[in-house]
Amino acid sequence: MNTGCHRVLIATFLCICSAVLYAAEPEPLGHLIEPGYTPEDAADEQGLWLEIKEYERSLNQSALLVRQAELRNYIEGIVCRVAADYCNDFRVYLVRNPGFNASMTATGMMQIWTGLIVRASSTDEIAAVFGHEIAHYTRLHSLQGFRRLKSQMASASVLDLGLTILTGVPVPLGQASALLNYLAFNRQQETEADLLGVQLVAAAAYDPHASYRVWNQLQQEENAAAVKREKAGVFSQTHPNSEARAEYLLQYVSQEFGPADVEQVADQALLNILNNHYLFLMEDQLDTNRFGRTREILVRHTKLGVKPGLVNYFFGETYRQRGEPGDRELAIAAYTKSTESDGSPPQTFKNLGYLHLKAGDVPLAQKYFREYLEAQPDASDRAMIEFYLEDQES
Amino acid sequence: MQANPIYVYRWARWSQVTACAMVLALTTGCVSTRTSQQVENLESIAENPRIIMMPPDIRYYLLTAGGISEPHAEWTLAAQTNFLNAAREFSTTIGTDMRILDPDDTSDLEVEYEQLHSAVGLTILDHHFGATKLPGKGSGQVFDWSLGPGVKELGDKHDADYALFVYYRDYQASGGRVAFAILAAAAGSYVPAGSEHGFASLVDLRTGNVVWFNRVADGSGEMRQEDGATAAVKTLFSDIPTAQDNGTAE
Amino acid sequence: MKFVKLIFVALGIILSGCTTTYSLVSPGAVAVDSLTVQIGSGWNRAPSTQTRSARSNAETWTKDGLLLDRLVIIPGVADGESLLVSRSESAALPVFRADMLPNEIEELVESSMLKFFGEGNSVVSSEGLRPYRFGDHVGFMFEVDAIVSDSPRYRGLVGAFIANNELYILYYLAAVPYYFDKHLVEAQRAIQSAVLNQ
Repeated sequence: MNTGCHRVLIATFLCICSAVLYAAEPEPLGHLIEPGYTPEDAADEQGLWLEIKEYERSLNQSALLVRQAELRNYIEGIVCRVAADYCNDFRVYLVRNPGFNASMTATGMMQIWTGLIVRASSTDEIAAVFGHEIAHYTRLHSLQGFRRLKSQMASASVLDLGLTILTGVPVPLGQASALLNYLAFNRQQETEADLLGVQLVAAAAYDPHASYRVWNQLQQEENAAAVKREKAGVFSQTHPNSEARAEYLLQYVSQEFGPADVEQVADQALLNILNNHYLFLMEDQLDTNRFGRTREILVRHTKLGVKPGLVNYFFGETYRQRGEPGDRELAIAAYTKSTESDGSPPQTFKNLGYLHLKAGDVPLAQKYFREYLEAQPDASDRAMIEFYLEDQES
Repeated sequence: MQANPIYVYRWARWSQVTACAMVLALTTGCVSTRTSQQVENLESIAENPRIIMMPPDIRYYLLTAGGISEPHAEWTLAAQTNFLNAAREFSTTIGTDMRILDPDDTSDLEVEYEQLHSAVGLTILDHHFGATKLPGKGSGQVFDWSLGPGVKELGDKHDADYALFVYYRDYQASGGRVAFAILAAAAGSYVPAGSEHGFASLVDLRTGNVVWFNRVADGSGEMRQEDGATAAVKTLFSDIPTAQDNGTAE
Repeated sequence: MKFVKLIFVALGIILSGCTTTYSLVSPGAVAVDSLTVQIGSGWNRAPSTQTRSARSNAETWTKDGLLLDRLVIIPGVADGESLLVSRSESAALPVFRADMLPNEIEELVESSMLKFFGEGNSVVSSEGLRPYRFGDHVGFMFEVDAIVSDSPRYRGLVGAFIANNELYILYYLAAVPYYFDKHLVEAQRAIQSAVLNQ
């Protein structure tokens, strides 16, 4: 980054400081380390690196790691573009987890959950999240956080005999759980990462306005949730409130880069990824049983232009599994719409069949069951479907 | 979100084991190593029985006074390195040809069996050496554990007759933690000041049977130090089956 | 007297917590609540302290230990109830409804197992749904597959039927490689033998 950029950053940062809730110390917001950084003197930092290296090795062997080439290339491509000179410092791990999370360790290990892809409405948004994480890395927040947490806990002894503490094994919340302790950045660090992240995103020719859209959408999803989380989820525990964040980012980005484009062009790269891997990505979201959130995501995908056959199938699935009064009709409508559109999966017919069976319309159910077997001759549940085809015919 | 019950199972057992350990310690004194040796000698078509050592799963943690368990990479790495060196040396004394698998060179096959072994080993700790016996499995009188004949694939891949698995977890109390534990004890609560558990097993790669299993005991050796690792290896492998024709173990 | 009794109860709880015991399941016909199952020898009944997420009238049996294999029998799940027990409100445990079709029960099991292994910690899938008659009741069976992080993979066989608006479900879940195949024949026989006591 050149000094001109530094000056602008300092100036805007100081400006924002007065407007922003979080009291941040004015300091230059550039990268604190060079590309290819490795720890030298600090003993605890070396220790941290070694432990993370071992964790990374086990992550590499995890059954939940996504190895699909197209998905990996898409994500790695975004990381590299945003990271620019630091591209080679990062190893990116895409993990099968329907939650929203992206994390970065001091060693440059990035862990991204598939739930992030499902919640993005543009590649720029994904880039914005990555920019934020990369900034954490180049600002050495991970090490600072670890040291701070260590001193905080030692001084504030709590008589908590929970099993977690006795054994030291945290409650699993997916692969990222083991490093939750390291991810607890403070508000100042989060703000720094936000602002530097935006700079990285813009420098990589992504839309900086995407940076606040992500948080707005997360908040929308939270509002749509039928069952609010008892305790804040992984991401909320370690990051500031979505609404406040979206606000100060909007201010910052507008000041730096002017207003947002009125027209938003469809993102073909993201659309391809979603269309080609929709069943895989959305099954896991559906399995969380959190219907309000799932619906919200599907609405977004419809607007985005994901194949209607796919989106409507999942609308059908959501209503069918939610099973509230009126949901059966909504599900039937959605499935039917799916069968008439591009990209409808064979199981749409099957589930239509089951719903009509429940509604008492046997001939219509059998019609759909037959269409299912035709579309999927090697169906593993053929025996069950044929049972319903025979059973009613007698 | 409910805690993962498989982990809950491990924790539940673990907290019960620590509680029991306290009771036992008060009544019976030190817990000693018990081993289960199933074969007298190792056999092989080669001159020396060929053993592969799977990447040892050894981890050290520091328990701070605040209760946070800090993975201590330096200790972990030191212990792993010392352990491997000591194990390499030891293997020559019992007349085997032991190769240590490079952790970066493992495929899904090795990982699959490492995962299975952890589950089997923890089960052996629990049901064979622990308080909760399985009556249907001879209530600990019979030692019949296996990774299954599928391990033959491992043996063929690495030209080996036996595989040695090592699993070890150590939670070291810091000074603050020890002080805290004393205070807590005075108040009537039990806070373990530190704990460790681990095991090693030798698996016959032709049948999958665990032919030898040893539970790590307290005070068997401080693996973070070189000579401690040698002592630990010696104790850990104190009665590992020897080669048929070559010299006996010390 | 009451105080002394309390001490004994407390002691009993402490000691029973200290020595959680498995008991041998007698081979032959075994009643689990309103179900009767035919079982071979060598199965161990797990104490409730080892199966914290289990319903009170469910039983879990194992041959080689819960981490390696388990046979779970869950009788009489009523409309609106879930297959597992959880203390957390936000766990969003899926519930059984009396008008569910086999594909929905399949999903109920998948979703429940996902919660059991940990959301975001595992991936559960199922296949092979087929009809099966349990005594007088027409039910169905299917297989499940669970990939779990930091753990061996688990495969399962599930049998279920609905009677009197209640769900009766039995499943065998075991580690691969080796353990699933090891007890499959026995477990399948047991599951398929299940009948509802009249």
